[in-house]
Parts: sequence; structure tokens; C-alpha cells
Amino acid sequence: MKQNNILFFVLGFLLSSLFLSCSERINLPLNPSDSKLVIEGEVTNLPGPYFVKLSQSVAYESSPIILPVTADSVIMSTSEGQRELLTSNQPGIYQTNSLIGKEGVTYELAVYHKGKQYLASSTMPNLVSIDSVYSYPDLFNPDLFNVAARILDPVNQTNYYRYFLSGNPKLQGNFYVLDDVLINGSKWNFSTNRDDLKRGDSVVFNLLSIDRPNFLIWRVLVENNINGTDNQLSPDNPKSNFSGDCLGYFSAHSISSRIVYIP
Amino acid sequence: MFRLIQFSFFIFILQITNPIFAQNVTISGYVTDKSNSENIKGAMIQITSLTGVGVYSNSYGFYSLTIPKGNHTVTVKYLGFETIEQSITVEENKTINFALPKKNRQIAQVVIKSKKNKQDISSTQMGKVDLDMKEVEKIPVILGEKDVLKTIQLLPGIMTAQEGNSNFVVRGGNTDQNLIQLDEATVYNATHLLGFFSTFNSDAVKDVSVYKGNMPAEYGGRLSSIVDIKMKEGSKKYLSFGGGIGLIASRLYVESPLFNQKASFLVAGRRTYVDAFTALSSDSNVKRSALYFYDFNGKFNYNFDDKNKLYVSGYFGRDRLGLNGLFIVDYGNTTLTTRYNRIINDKLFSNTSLIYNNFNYDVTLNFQNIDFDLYVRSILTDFSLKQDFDYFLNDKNSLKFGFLGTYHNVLPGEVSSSNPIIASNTLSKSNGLELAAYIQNDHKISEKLNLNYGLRLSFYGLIGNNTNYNYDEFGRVIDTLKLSGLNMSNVVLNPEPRVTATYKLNEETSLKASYARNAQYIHLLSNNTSAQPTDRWVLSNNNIRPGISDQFAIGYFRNFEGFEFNVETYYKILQNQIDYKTGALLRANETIDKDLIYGDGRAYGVELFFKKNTGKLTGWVSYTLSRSERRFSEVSDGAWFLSRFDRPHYLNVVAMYELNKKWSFSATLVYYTGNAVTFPSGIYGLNGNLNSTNLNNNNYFLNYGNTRNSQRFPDYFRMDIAATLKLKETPTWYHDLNFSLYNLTGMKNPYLITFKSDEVTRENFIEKTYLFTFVPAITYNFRFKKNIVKNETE
Repeated sequence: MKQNNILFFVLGFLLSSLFLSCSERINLPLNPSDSKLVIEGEVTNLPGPYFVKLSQSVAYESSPIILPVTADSVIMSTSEGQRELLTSNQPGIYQTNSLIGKEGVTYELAVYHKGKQYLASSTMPNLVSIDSVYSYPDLFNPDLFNVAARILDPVNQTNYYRYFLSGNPKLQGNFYVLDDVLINGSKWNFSTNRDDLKRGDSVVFNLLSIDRPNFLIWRVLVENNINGTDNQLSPDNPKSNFSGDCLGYFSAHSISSRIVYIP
Repeated sequence: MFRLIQFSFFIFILQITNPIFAQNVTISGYVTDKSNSENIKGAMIQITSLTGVGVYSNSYGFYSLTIPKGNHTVTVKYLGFETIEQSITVEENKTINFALPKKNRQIAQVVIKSKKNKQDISSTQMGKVDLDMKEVEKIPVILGEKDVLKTIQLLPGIMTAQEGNSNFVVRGGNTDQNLIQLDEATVYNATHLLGFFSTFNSDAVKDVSVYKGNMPAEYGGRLSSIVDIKMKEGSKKYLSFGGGIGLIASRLYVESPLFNQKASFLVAGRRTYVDAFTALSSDSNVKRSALYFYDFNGKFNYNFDDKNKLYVSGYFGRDRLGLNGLFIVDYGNTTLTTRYNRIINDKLFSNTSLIYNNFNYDVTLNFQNIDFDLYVRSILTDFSLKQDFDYFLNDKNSLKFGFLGTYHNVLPGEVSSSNPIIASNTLSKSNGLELAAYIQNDHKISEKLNLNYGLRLSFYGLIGNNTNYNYDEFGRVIDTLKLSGLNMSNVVLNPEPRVTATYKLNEETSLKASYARNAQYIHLLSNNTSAQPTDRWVLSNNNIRPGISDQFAIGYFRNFEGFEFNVETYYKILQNQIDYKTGALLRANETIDKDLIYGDGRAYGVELFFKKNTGKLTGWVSYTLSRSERRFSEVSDGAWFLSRFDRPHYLNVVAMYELNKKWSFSATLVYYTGNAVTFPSGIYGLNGNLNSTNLNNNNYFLNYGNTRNSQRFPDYFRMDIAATLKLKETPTWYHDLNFSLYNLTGMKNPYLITFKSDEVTRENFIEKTYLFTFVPAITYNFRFKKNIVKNETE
């Protein structure tokens, strides 16, 4: 028994020194940068209104205060000839009133701010529906759960997906992006790696079919967000799909959502 | 002017044809280690009575020297060995072999009084470091595992890629710009356990030379350096076995003469045993984990007669990491070298090598919960044929010439899965042929001026099955070209001139200058500074251009009683460097070359090296002041930015102290400026899902940065110590205990710095991850030696 303890001590020591690491919070002097306009706009296949959100970037800090921005005007138009001036009920939030989101239609967003024009367009891809959803226990801790959705990727087109979980406050902030280069035409399990769900929780699985420019933006946001690690391929700022020097995206996408209940 | 050229040409011819005028004879033979009859390369053979007449033994220990008939005194010297002085009388061509006794540290203080024992300053080689394997044994490294690739990182101009890692960077290059060769076979992934250990078992290593870009024409293929590692041949005098038991691994070797000393062999092996402990764990995940590596080295040599020798050597190593039943990564290298040495005549030496090397990895994933299984196999194989000639023309000129042909076969990823959709995503093979021919001359122009000049002509092209893509400006494939057969495509020819001049100011001091061009045709795509088995090697093709480097260097070399001091300064220009487009993915990417960008690099610096070779206290101080930059039109608006390995100050101190016959101590100190990195300079919020219920949420906080690599990691500092206690030392039996402590001061040097956001409070914070504070280790080493050659004594 005693020998076993020694063995485990040695093992634990080795593993901790070699393969486990220690972490601690630190402060670093960082070069602050100028503030930039951030535009976020969406049109979906669901009934409107659709929203455009304007804000500003700030210097890096622990609890940043993101301030809304009021534009001179925000205009959305479609390839079918509709054109609408968006209205604002609260600072930084603009919404459509009559525009209808349809698959296959190209939407254009124009934001006029401080004498500058920011233009972006996006085409809404056809809807790809979730086939079914399910939950499964985590590989390392069977009390915690992950969720996944089965999706049949259409074979005769190139599809780009963004998916995320919603409907539960602890799930904010994780997005996944995928294209169908590897899975074209197959039935595929779209999995998430949130392992903090427990029995009795329910969440909404959202699958967005996005266009290629948005796929490229989101892939950089998800994979190349500058987080300081040495392991990044090429740390870089994501380019928005707007003309003009701003951050953000404008995306016309179709949404398929399903509720997952963990029994 | 023309007359002058004509005149010097005449002089040149005169020197070449010099033997015609005098009654000259040639002495030739091998320089060997007296204790085990292994060959010594690079030993200096000098005729003391004739100033400036001397030659170096070649890679196989062979030398040839043409001298006037009569009586002479010859001295033979080499680092770590006693200098021998011998009187010879030669009336006709003669074979004279020299056997150098190993230097005994206890008597070193006496011997050093003699001037002849000094380091050599007149060689026509710059930017070259030879590692003394005796020192490698003494220098502390993590967990007590001796490691040649970590020891060379303590020398000027060679920087570690990351803490605790065997990967390294030479003179502002990248980690893939180093050619690591074991008995001439390329080792593509020279690391175990994701880089924490090198593949080289020091029990099997005879010597290590690093050429930091100024290589002579016989070497080539990489932009920054050549690390030439030679395996021990196996003693021809005694039977020996030995090994070591360490905290994480054990080693064992056997060597012996065979067939009446006509042959000898060495076999060495290592294995880690962390998994033996994990199997005992009660935690099922730890129990299921696979975590080990092992490797074998073997070498056999056979002397047919005095003029013909055969060497066969090989390496085999595997790593296995993962969780059984879920995922397993299995990887390793195999090398096999067969060499045939022939002394054609007393001036001409030939070596023919047939070389095979292979690096492969298998990844198995099996996630039943989401019906996902995947098996990826990747293989990189080279077959090479090499022919070298050493022609010891006369006492002024030693020529080397030869050729090398290498066939590269790259299978980047063969995918199989129970799902036919995944299985259809195998990546295309590529095959390339690299040919090189070289000629070089080590030319003694005068007693003071030595010149080494040469030309390497490298030729490269794709051959056999290859798939080339052409892309439009958006990276879409517009043209797919399937190649096959023996017609070569994407052919390039690169003349690579090399020259080094050495001017002796006096017996102690010399000035050197050199220029070298190198070309590289195979490149590593990696998103890591540490070595990952899944990093991808790609051949130059229609999109990926061969890399070119030009390096200029000048240096000052000085020796004084027991000390050596040198300063080298270099300027290096790099062409066709590779970086990645924003959002590039390396995994399972058939059209990876569309995601690459190409640019330039430049690097310059000064290296200072001060070494004390004698006395109870030995060691060195090495300091490098340097800069390394890159330029890509797609990054930072085409302005120069710092390479991530730009570390202006890099200091190493190594000290070894022999207290008495029982105890010896050593210590190392490493300090360097932190890596150049891109940290966030600003932050913004995105919702990512705009609907009336969550408009004011920012689901996602994103960072954005300024210029690439404009900020720095904190500076790095570490001190290690080690002590060796000799338990017993007799001619037959030796054993010792080695104690070491890595990171004596417990510095929490950051391994990673991550910008994170707390998932509950949404607060942003910066987190530093560090490894290895105070890592003690103990290793037991033993060696048994029995002289089995009857008519000789030690």
C-alpha cells in the first residue's frame, strides 16, 4: 500500500510537471488603439423586424463599456427593388418595419455616419433544416451533457453554416462555423462542445445558413480572434464585409431552430 | 589588371601542379579514437617542420597529405583528445594511422601548458559549432534526459523555439529551415512528446556539428542550418554495455567488436514509462491514456580490408499519445543509411550512401456519441543516393565533389472512415526530385590566407503523381492539373555559391569572412512553435516557390591560454518565405497553397562566444544581439514586421566544475527577450444573433490588434543546476548518479498568454500559463567495459 502511494506521488508529480500546467492572471502593458465603428446587421427568413446595431470599439480592458452609436441614417434595400429607412427606438438599435426576408434575395445595407458611408450586401441562402436533435453525456464527466443536431447537407450546392445554442443564459458567446467541403451531401452531426448542461436543462439549437463572405468573417472570428496565444496561424483582424473602415458584419441568413431537452 | 589575373592564374596552376616539381610522397590513413577505434572527423594533421602544411581528416576519419621525402614531425589534434606528436620517415607513399587517446580531465591542467593544445583558428569554417558529447553529458536538462538538440540551444545564434522544446531557430530563420540529419538521413520530426524530448538518444550519438548557414558546398537543402549528427560506430576494442534509469525513461546500449575486429556494432534503445504508472491509476481516464515513446538506434560496420569499409545504421522511434478508444496519435521516424567507403588511391577517397527515411503519423478518432470516426494516415518518405569524393590534391588543395539525388514522396493525409463522405477526402499525393552536384576546394593560398570556395548546383522539380491547382484572385480553383509519369514539371535550377576566407593575423588570432547561398524545396506548414506530429510538410510546386537565403558573415577568432573567444556578425536575406492568409486552415485542406502568402525576410546580428576549456572550472558565455524581420504585401500594408522569433538579447552561461574525483557540478543560465507577438489593442462586442429579446447583449467580445508582432512576451529567465556523483570508476565498471534541478529560481516564465473572458461575470482577463517550476530529477547511469582484444591494453 505504501509503495503504491509513492508510485502515485511520483506519477502525479511527473504529470503535473510535464503535462499539466499552472495558470495565473497577469497584467500586461498594451498599446491602446483608436476607436472604430462596429456595425452588426441581420436579415433572416423569419418574420421581421430585422435589426441593425451600431456601437464603438474601446481600448482593451477587463469590463469594457460598449457605447451605442447614433448614425445619420441606416437604409436597407433588396435586389427586388424594395428600399427602407430604418427607424430607431433605442440608442444604437435600428429596425425595419415592412421589409420581408426571403431566401435567394440579396440585401444591401447602407450606414451613414459622420459624413462617411459604410456599404455591405449579403444574399440569403436557401434554408437547410435540422433533421433531429439529441443530447449525449460528456466523454469525461457523465453528469454533464453536450448537444448535437443531425443535418442533411444539400448535395448540389455549396453550403456555409453558423450554429449556436441559445435560450439559456449560461450559453452565451459560443459560435461554430462549418462549410460543406468535407461533408457535401451527407447527413452530418453538428456537435457543440458546451459541456456545462445538466439533466433537466433545455436549450435551443440554431442552425444558420450563411453566405460565403459571412462564413469567412465568422471563421476568422471563431478561429483567429487575436487572443495572444503563440499558436495562432496568422493573428489578424477580421475584415468586415462593409466598404469603409469599420468592424462587424451584415448577414442575410436562413434559420432553422430546434429545442433540445436533456432528460 | 589583365596581367595580374594572368599571373595569379599561373600561380594557381603552379600550386595545383606543385607535386611535379618536388620529390614528394603521400602519407594517408585514418585518425581514430584510441579507446575504441572509432573514426575521428575533423582532426587536424600537421607537419610541424613545414609551416602551413596540414590537412583535416574527413567525415570518415580519412586524411591524405603530400609532403617532401625525408624526416618529419607530425602532430595530430582534435577537441577533447590528447595531441600526439610523432616522428616519421617517409621515402615512398605510406599509410600511417593515428590513434588519439581521450583527454583525461585530471591531467588536463598539465597538458594545457603546451601551446599545441589550442583550439584551431585557421580552419576555413565559420558559423560552425561542434558539440563535445562529454559536455552534453554534464549539462543539466529537464528531467535529467540528456539531449543534444537542447544543448545546442545554449550556443550563440541558436535559439529555442519555445521553453523545454527541442525545436530551434537559427539566426533569425524559422523552425523548418534546419536540416537535421542522423548519419545523413533527414529526420523530419526530430522530437518526442510534442517537442519536449529530441529523437536522439545521446548514448548512440558520437558527434554533432551545426552549420549556421555558412555551410561548405557539400551541405545544402535548408535555408538556416544543417545539424549533422553521427552515430557511434561501436567499439572495435571492447565489449561494453550500459545505460541509465531516469525518472521518465530508461536507456540501454550494447556495443562490441565482431569477426576479429573486422566489424563492430552498437545497439541502443530508450523507452519512457509514464504509462506504466497511468495504468495503475484509479481514474479511468488516466488509465485509458496512452502516453509513451521509444526509440532504437543501431549501427554496424565492416572492414573488408584497409581500403574498403561498409557502414549500415538505422533509427526507429515511435510516439503514442491519446485516450484509448477515443483518439490516438501514433507517430515516428525511421531512417536507414548504408554507406560504402573506398580508398581509391592514397589521395582519393570515395563514399557512396544509400539513404531511406520516413516520417509518418496515424490519427484515429472514434466518437461514438456523434457517429464520428476517422482514421488519417500521413507519410513522408525520402530515398536518396549520395556520392562523395575527397581528393587530397596536394598540400595546398583539398577538393571535395559529388552529387546527391533525393526522391520525396509526400502523402499528406489519407482518410478513411465508416462514413464514405469523410473517406472520400483524401489529400493528393505529391512527389518531387531534388538533385544537387557540388565541388569545393579548401585552398591554402599562403601561410596566412586560407580559402574554401565551392559551388553547389541544386535542381528540383515535381515528378510522378502530383496535382497542381491554379487559383483566381478569390482563391477559387480555376484549373486543376493532374501530373504523372517521369516528365518533370515546375523545374528550378539554383546555383549556390559558397566561399569562406580565413586570414591568420598570428598564431592566436584570425579573421574570417564568408558568403553562402542556400535553397530549400520542402517546407513545413505549422501553426505552432512546438513540434506537432500533424504539422504538414509540403513540396515546392507551381504556387509554393523554393526558399532562397543569402548569408554574409565576418568573424574574429582568438585563442589564448585555455580560452577561446570569437565574434561573428551576419546578415541574412531570405526570399520566398511563407505565411498564411487570414483565416487559413491547415487541417484537411487540399488546396492549402491558396491560403499561403509569400514574402521576404531579413535577419542580422552579432554573436559573442567566450569559452574556458581548461582547469577545474570550464564553460562558456554566449551572447547574441540580433534582429529578424519579415515582409508580406498582405500583412501590415507591406511594411517590415518582426518575426515571432525576434529576440534581440539572448544570453547563455554554462559552467562546469570538477570538485574532486567523486563530485562534479554544472549550472546553466538562460535569458532572452520575449517573443514578438500580436496582442489585442482594442475590444468590441458582437451579438451574433439579433432579435428583439436580446438586442443589448454582447454575446461575443472580440479583440483586435495593431501591427503584427508589435508587442512582446515578458523576458525569459531560467537557471538549472546539476551534480554528478561518481559511485565507482574502474576500467571495467563505471556508474554514477546525476541530480538535477530545472528552473532553480522557480521563475514562472509564460508558456502561453491568453486573453480570456470569464463566462459568468463576462469580465475580460489576461491569463499566463507556465510550465516547469522547480523540476528535480535523478538519473542513474552505468557502464560496463571489457577489453576483448587480447594483444592490446588500454
